[in-house]
Amino acid sequence: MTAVRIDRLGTYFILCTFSLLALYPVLSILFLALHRKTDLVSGFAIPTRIDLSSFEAAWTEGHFATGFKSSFIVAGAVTAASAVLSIGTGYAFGTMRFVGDRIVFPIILLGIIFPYEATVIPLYYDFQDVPLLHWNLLNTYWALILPQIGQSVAFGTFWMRAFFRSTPRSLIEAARIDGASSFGVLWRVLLPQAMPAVLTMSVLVFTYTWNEFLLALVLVSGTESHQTAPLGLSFFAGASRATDPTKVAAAAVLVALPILLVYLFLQRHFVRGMLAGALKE
Amino acid sequence: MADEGADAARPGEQIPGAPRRRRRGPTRAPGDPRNIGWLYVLPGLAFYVLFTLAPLLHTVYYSLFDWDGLTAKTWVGLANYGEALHDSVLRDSFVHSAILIVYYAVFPVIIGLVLTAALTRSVIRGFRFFRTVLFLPQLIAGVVIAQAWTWIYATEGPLNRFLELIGLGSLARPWLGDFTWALPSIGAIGSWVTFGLCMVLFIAGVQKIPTSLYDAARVDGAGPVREFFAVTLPGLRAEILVAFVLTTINALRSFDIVYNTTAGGPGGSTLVPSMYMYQNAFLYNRVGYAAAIATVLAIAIFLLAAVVLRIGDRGEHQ
Amino acid sequence: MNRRLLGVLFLVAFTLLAAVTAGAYAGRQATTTTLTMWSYDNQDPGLEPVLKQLSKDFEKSHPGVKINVVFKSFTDLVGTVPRALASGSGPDVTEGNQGYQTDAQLVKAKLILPLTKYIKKYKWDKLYAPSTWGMFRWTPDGKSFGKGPVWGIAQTGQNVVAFINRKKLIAAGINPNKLPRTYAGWERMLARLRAKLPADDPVIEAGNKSGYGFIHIFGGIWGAYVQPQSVRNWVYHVPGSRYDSAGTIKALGRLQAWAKAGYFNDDYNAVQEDAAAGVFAKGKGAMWIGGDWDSTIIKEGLGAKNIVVTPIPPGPGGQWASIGGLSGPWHISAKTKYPDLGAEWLNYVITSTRAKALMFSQQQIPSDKSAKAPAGDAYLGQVSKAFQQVANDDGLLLYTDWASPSMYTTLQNQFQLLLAGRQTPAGMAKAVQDDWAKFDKTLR
Repeated sequence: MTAVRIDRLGTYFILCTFSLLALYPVLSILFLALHRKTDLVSGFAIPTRIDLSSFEAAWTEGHFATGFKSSFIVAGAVTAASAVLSIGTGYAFGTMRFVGDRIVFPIILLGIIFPYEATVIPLYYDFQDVPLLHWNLLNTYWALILPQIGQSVAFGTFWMRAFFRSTPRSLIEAARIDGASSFGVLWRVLLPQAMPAVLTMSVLVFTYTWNEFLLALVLVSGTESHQTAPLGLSFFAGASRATDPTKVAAAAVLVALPILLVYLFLQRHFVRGMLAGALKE
Repeated sequence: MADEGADAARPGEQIPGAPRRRRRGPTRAPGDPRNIGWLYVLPGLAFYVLFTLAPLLHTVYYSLFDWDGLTAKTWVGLANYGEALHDSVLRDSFVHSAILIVYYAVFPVIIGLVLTAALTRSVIRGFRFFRTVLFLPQLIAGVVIAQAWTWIYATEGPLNRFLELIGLGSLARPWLGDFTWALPSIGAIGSWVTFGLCMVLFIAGVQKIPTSLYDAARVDGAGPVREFFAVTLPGLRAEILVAFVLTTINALRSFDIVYNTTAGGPGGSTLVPSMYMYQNAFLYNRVGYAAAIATVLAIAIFLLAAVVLRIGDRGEHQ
Repeated sequence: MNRRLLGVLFLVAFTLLAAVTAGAYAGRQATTTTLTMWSYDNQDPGLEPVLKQLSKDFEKSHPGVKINVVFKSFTDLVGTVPRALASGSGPDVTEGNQGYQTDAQLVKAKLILPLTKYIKKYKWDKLYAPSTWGMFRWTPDGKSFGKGPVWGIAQTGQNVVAFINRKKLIAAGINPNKLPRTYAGWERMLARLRAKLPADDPVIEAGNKSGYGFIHIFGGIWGAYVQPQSVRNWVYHVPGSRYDSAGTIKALGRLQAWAKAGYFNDDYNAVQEDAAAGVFAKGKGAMWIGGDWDSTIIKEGLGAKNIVVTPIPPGPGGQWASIGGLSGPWHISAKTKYPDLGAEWLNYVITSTRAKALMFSQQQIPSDKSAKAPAGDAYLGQVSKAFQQVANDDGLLLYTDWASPSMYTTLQNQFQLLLAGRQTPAGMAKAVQDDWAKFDKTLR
């Protein structure tokens, strides 16, 4: 009995230690942010009183109203668009066979391990002077939205294909026999069941898009009006960390907050979806 | 959902009064060739090709020129690659990435396995809580992570305070400003970021392993450690492979965190290829050379993924 | 299903809200003329309050005009400004950086306007000595530095000097009113400070995280071993100039010796130069050697009476020298819709009486050589005198990172290696000269 008890204690100890390690960095900037500029903060910095002045300062001086607006627009658009596109591609690869599908699907899968950093150089010059159309799309939302849709389609296709492959063939057959077109099958039969998978995929795409930094640094750093929140944080930290670390910590907390809130709210779907996806492959 | 059981027409039959069904030859069942699939694939594929594959080819194109990005290009063929071969800074940056792979991939996989074993051997109270918390680092933006860890590693920050508290104050140092310790410090950040991902993958994988295997092992008198090595580990082969591929790729990319903590310093000791590419393209105005670096990086990433998958495949066939 | 639905609605609602806000925001912007200025002069707090106040004044006297001054760190601004200007939606007026990394690019790619007509209109040629204009001159192909039309104009004079904690001098038995007037004496003073200070208190609180910390500190040592003109020639790529002269190698050896003797704080690579000024202002270290643009925070921390300001004294040649010149050059974007308005703003923030008064109140030295520091501020008097000492001896060494697009990174890396004992002075001199030579070839 004691051996089992020790065994269980050991397990909880490991779990608690790593949980603390996972949380600590987030907690430490939160604690730092809850101080005032004039407090000489050092070490663990557990706040003795809650002071939100750094958050106010960070929000106004870091122009995060603009940053958040940009990030929401970009992440929202990318999520919506890539969801629609990935449902389509996932449906096709998951339930049909067509000429070339064996070649095209692995090419799309390549996108999951793709070195996106290697594409920012041409993206910059092509957005500065769009081929054939000669538009200048730098410092616009399009510059961030379009490439990220392309980047998310790879992951989205993988995800939705895994889901569609797991639906029983009989369901699809029955609907086809009733004369449903391919779209009808998708819309009326498969999609209602797919909502959890779509939701998980959407939340993940939203998160990755919200967190994107290099693309923003290269394509929209020219004007504050279209800066995303992470980019704004980087510039704000560069300009203010030396003089006021509490302000920068507050800004960092603000930038992470939306994703954390969505995660806590929907965490069951996040992880369940991930497990389901991984299981299929 | 349609359930027209008894009234369902048999293939080919017409129900009087029902709209005439278009017949395109023998009735098709899903999974059989349906070229309409292309219609669904095309839009997504178009975005993917236009904004991912095409730019990569374009990068290779740029790498054949000497260009400052603002004036005219000059054709130089493979000269940039020749320079890259002799560039010790580039070589060092790949060495740094290789070191980061140990921190981003090897440690997290091990930690992930340990945590999975702990979480799945018996019913754990608060399973959902632990799983939620341990996965959290994956979701935080690189820039935010950089701020948090810059504070932790600061001279007057929590890490040094902790060391002083446990009597190891002599080990306290400016971690991110130290020639020897800056890269491992960044590596530690990487381990922190990816261990949750590995854990989640492995937990999913463990649920696939039939309990009969565990029962058999127990009957043979295996303790928890033997169980792990004999049943769990082999059963997780596929997931471990996926985890390695994803995390090593992560190590090779790592731009956000490096840029926002050390920017490649001190003395270039934390420079990684993606950072070097950025410097050449946008600070030194050597776009052609930067494109060559980017191409080399892309090749390295694809090669690495192929190698890891190959090793995995071979292991399976043993 | 409810929770999921709620989550989706949550996301959708936010997106819609954001889009609507965007629309309203855009609508509101259309009625005023807005000019955007970029600057990195917000170190502790430097010119930030001055520029903000002056812009408010300007808005009052120009109804319908809004001035939006954006502050970024030096490395962030310099790293993003060429692309920002090229995009057409970047700043209207911005600081750049003299030298081959930034200004040469801006000129070559026709991203900024030559200032010739505005110099005539506002009589800016009275601001500086003729030779000072050299740092703003480029031939339109961006290859020749120091020749050709003028492309930029600077707001303040800048100089790297030592700010010394008076109390600590006295505690070490040194008379703050009789500081060494020679470089040799200076080194003896440092050794004495090291001997008398507690072991964990650095003699010089240094911050090199961004790489310019030691570029600055080195200037004072350098000036004792080389002719300032030779340094300027090297920066301007006069053919045949070299970095790896005997004098330079000796000077680098002295800097390395300072590090070996333990004069610097341990964590200099993890601290920014301006942050180090803040730390010094809170009482750490006997001195801080850096730009006089940080003078305000030091005054706020230690109190004006407790500070002695001096450049590092001259070597055997007798010439006062230090890294310095003028502040970052202001440029007018070639793509701005309001170049004349931008020039008018520049004229206001650089030459108006109000501007000079505000600059002095922040311990910044206006670049206008006719500006006189108001009497009664002893600290400001010291800072001003320190600048005059060097400027009058023609000892301003400019900033060596101007010498090539990659020189900043090369110097940053080499200084870090040198101070850690991982590089020899001769090795560093060679590495720097190699960078210069490689770039020099492309100019011929």
